[in-house]
Amino acid sequence: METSAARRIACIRLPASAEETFDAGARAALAGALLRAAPRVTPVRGHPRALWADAGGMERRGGDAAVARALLAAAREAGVHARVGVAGTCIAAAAATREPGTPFRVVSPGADAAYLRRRSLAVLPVSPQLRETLRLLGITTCGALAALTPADVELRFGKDGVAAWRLARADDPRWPFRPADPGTPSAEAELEPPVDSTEPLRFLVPGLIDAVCRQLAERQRIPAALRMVLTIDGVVRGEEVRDVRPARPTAEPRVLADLCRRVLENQPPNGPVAGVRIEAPEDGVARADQLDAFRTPAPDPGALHAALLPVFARWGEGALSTAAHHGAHLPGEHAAWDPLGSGGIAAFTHAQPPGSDVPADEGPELGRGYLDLCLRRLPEPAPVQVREGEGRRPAAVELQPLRTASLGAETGVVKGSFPPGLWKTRCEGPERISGAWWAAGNAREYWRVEAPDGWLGLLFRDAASGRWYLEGWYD
Amino acid sequence: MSTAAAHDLNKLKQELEKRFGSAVRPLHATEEQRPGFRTGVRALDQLLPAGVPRGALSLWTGEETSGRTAAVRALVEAATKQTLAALVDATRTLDPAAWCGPHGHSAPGLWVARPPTPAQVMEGAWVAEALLRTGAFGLVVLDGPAPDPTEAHRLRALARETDTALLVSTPDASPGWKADVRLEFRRGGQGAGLSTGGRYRRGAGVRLARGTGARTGERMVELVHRPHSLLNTAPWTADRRAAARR
Repeated sequence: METSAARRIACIRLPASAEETFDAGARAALAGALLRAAPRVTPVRGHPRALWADAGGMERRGGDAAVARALLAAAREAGVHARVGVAGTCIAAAAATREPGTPFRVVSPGADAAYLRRRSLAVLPVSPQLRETLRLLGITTCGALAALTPADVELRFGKDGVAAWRLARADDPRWPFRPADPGTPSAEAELEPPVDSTEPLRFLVPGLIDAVCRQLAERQRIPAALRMVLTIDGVVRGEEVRDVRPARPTAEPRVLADLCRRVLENQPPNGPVAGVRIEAPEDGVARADQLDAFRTPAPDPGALHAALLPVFARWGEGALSTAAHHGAHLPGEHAAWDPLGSGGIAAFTHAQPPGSDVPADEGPELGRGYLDLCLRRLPEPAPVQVREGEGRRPAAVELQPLRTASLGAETGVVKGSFPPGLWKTRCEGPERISGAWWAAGNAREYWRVEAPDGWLGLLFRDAASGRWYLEGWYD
Repeated sequence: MSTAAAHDLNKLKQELEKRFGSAVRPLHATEEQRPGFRTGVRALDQLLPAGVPRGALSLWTGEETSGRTAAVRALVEAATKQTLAALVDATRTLDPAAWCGPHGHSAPGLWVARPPTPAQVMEGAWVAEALLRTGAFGLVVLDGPAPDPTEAHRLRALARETDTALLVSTPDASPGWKADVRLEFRRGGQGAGLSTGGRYRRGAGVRLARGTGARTGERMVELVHRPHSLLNTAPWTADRRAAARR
């Protein structure tokens, strides 16, 4: 059950100029766009230029400010420059949209009453007569009204006065969304006025599907079936249900939206649609091998994202990295593993090779007879003992004393057969590299060294300190 | 395809899409139609004529400078031309420069996962398991310490279930470590491999210790290192070498 403390609501207010240009289709498109930023969106009754959005439980997405920015971006995407207010109550959220000079305002949790105290009475939905009476009495702010005793307010202004007094104290029990069944992920949107055609739903439904998929993704699940509940505002107000079941669980919004559209075309609603709710009554394991019989097989990015959320949570952005040349001086810097994070999943899934699952070389090709060695670099260069010979050449190297301490052999970072003891080395070099003069600066001499048994490593001597380090080895 | 057949196929497609959307899963090809991944390296392809097998766990072991990492790179390069591949660099020791292709970045179909700190090296097996579970990859490579036998058993079962080629590349693994295919790399040859200019050339042996349907015995391969004139090979960077003082 939702508690008022956990509730956060966003009010999206459109400019006055939008009223004339905003027909039902545009309103549905706006609601669909907003659903990408919040799971539930509904119009404010009696105010065609305002919508409510459920902003609760968004801490993991950056909190109230992030949601407000996302709502603003979504509205901009739909072609509207809106204002957004986020608060714990409807009245404070609506008042926050009227604050000049800022596109969004977030009222901190629990601070709604304090926030309203200094705001004008104009933010309260009271009759003009009551507002005028209060003005004549010198009561022009919510704080002044809230400071009155409730008995006096009821005696002088009646039931309407008490309602306004309560709102001025941020005592607003309104919650425009129906409580969600915690077991069934759902997203809904209301349409005001109701629409006769299913065309506006084509804009709305993808946003709802996206919201449902995101709720399921947090549990690493993807939809196995969707239920579309249409609120019909006909002679008798009622609900109609359309069930959609893809061939197997998928989080591919294109597929699910396509199925919903086809269901609506085959079974059109029996009256004007006043609202749509998408539920996922069945879900499945987030497997990404969603294949398409008629296109090149490619993984489902939504399912891949859902399945690998725990990996990104533990390994961060580096859980999906790509190698890229950067062109710096030092071997450790001229290329890097760039972390792409979960944002790179979509691009990755589109990189499916065209000849998928078809072997590239089926013939009896012999292949090449050599292997090009790769450098393996230690996470940090490790100091090693080197006996220098003529011209500061490394004549003998000892890695052994440092193996457990510096090379991380105990933790398994580097475990293998480094040449034991002090060994005479064959070496080639130096390659002198200096750079980063704008920062600490460095000057190094790199040497390739070979142990008698063929082990090939890369050492460098730091010119400033004269100390030797192991950069890595070739394998 | 005749016009009538094309018409029938189109009709079937429409019927299927009408009923199931476009998420129709094609039938799995049979084992024979889904061969393993060949490396393009003669010695390895001779030992594994059908390639690194799908639906199986392969183990490659070998000391440093035995060419094991180079062989993994050759395998990944070849596999990414056919499928999506994942590489778990659990030890964080793979040098990115070696994995950059001619365009300055790694293959777009290669997913590389690296832990944020070296201390998380033992989580590599867990990440490989998560990647296998997705079923999105044709090849998953775990480069790092060998997982314990229980984890290995789970990984092997997942590889079989998802028909993925799973490769564990590790410096060492106990002889009792179960794998469907086991290749052992070792340094070979006598005398100096390193020569003027930092060039390196030395023989190495690859032995098939275990494998069904594969050829036994050892093959020789030549390990080669051809350094560029600069360690920094990016062509757009100016040469600012200066004699190190002191």
